Amino acid sequence: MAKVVLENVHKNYGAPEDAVKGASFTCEDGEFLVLLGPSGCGKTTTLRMITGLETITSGKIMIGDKVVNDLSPQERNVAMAFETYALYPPLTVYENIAFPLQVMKLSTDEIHKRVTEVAKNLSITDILDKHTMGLAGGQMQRVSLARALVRDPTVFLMDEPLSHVDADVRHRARAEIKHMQVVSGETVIYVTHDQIEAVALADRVVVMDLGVIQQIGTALDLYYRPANLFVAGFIGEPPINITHCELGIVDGGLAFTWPGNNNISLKFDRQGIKPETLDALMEYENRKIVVGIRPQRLVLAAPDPQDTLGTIPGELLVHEFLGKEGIAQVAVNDVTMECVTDPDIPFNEGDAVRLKFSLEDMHFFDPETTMRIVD
Amino acid sequence: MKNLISNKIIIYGLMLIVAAYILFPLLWIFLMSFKSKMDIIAIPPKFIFTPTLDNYKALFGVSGAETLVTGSAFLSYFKNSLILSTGSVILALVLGLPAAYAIARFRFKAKEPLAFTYLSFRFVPEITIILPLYVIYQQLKLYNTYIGLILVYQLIALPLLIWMMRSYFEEIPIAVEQAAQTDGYSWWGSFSKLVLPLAAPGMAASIVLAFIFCWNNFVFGLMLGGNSTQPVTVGLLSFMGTNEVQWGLMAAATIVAIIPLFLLALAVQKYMIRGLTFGAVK
Repeated sequence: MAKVVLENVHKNYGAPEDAVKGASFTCEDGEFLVLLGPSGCGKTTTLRMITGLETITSGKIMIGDKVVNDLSPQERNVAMAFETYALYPPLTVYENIAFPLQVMKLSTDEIHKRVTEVAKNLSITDILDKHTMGLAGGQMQRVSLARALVRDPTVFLMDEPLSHVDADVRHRARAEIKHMQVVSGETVIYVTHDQIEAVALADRVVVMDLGVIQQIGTALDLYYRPANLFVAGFIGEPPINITHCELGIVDGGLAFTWPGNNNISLKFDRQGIKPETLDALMEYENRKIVVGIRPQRLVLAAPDPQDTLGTIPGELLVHEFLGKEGIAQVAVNDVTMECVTDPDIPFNEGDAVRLKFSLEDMHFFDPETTMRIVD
Repeated sequence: MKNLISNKIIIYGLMLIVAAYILFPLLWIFLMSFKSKMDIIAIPPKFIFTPTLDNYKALFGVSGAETLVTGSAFLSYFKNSLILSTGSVILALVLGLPAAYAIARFRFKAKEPLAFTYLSFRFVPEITIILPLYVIYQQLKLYNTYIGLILVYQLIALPLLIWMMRSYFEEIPIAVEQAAQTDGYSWWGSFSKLVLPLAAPGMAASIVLAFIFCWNNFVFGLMLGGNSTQPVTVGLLSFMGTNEVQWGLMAAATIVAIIPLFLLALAVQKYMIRGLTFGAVK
């Protein structure tokens, strides 16, 4: 068990653009770190550079306190669980798990002890003598984990291990992985494109897009303080509402104008605004600003001409019933906004409604740089 | 339902006709090897006759009959074929397996052109290169040597082995080797313990196919081999004498010559189709 440090790591495959650009982060000893991002963002490449299956174009990777750039995978003492499991086809489950131990020249007794123990922990004792060909996806995934676990490696690397597991088993498999890590205290670096998985498993998440790290933080950090538009849009289900508004400041109060033919503005009175917020937004006066608000933070209400602050009118387009809650699509000018509601609402499609906002729940981003406007 | 049955009948019927067309020469030779001289040259051709073992007996020198090719000569041709085919396949394995693995696993600029170049050795009819080769072999004193023939047989065996083994290697997911690497195995460890066992059936098929093609070769053996190195394909020519052709003996010799091939092919028939259509889909 050890910490893993990446310093300004680049990877280039011969294209004009690097596949991984200047990745720097630390995974502490015993931490569960998740690399999250869409396909092609460089997360798997980064993981494979830590394993040693990809060369490092520039930068440093350290495992423990050793620089591992020039070490082969054999020498790094890391274990990897592959997306495709990569089980050893000619061998039985027992032999698969024993395989890494055999090269370590352990005694047969010792090997047997370790294999049976790991098999018990992962509930695969009953399939130990089966061949890997005929196993179900979930079983293969557990064998893959067992094979990595049995080695007691320095770092445990996992490349989208759940992406080929059936949806109904995935929940449980996910919980098993988390449980295993909590109990064993292994240092784990885990790659996924599924933000729900990332948020459920990680101590901290590294969000990547197009080879660049967008933000590093806990799930709460990412959810409540996304560093840029990409992170805001990637984390959270249903995704955040993003609107390009025009900001006006009148009498110390804020007015966000929604794009469209009708003059619709979200107004906040001077009294409810924190001075820091006003300061930060000041330079966007009379300019475009990107406003984000999560569907969970919007409140759907009946129209009320008296209430003019913190609310905008709209038309209910669609309402979906999802059991414990509902999702409403509301048209405001040219923009469609999503809002989480009670499972049942007293409105019909086509009705006039309004959406209530609270300033603290709103996120602001610069339209050009897409970075968060700090307040 | 009726349609399906009649379709089946048509298909099987056509297959029978094609099979008969292809197998007829073989069948004819087989029958001929059991015919007496009179039966062989009978017109119209005889399918019903009294079989005799005279040809086989004469071939192996048992009956004492006069033959254009003595029993021991025939056996030496057979031995030559064995030496040449086996030696060629072994050399092709040593050269070709690493090449096949490299082409299957690594990315490099000239990969496909190189692989295609190996394949192209099989496109060139042997006759077109045989004259310059003859001259070169005479000058290098490779004429009528086992080494010389084994070397030229590489033109037959190497492309086959490389292309077939390439596809078998490519079928093994590279993640398996990478997992073994991460688990601490050297390249050779993962190759010998995981890749080879998986590729073994494919390798067996490739070896047999290469062996068969080498065995069947005629032109190289004829032009670059001499008395002491002639394979059985060339040796059979000697049954055509100036005064007579010993058809029956030739037929018997042919049948004996193809028995090894027949047995080998039977053993790996499942994998044969793949080897014969390699390069078609890539």
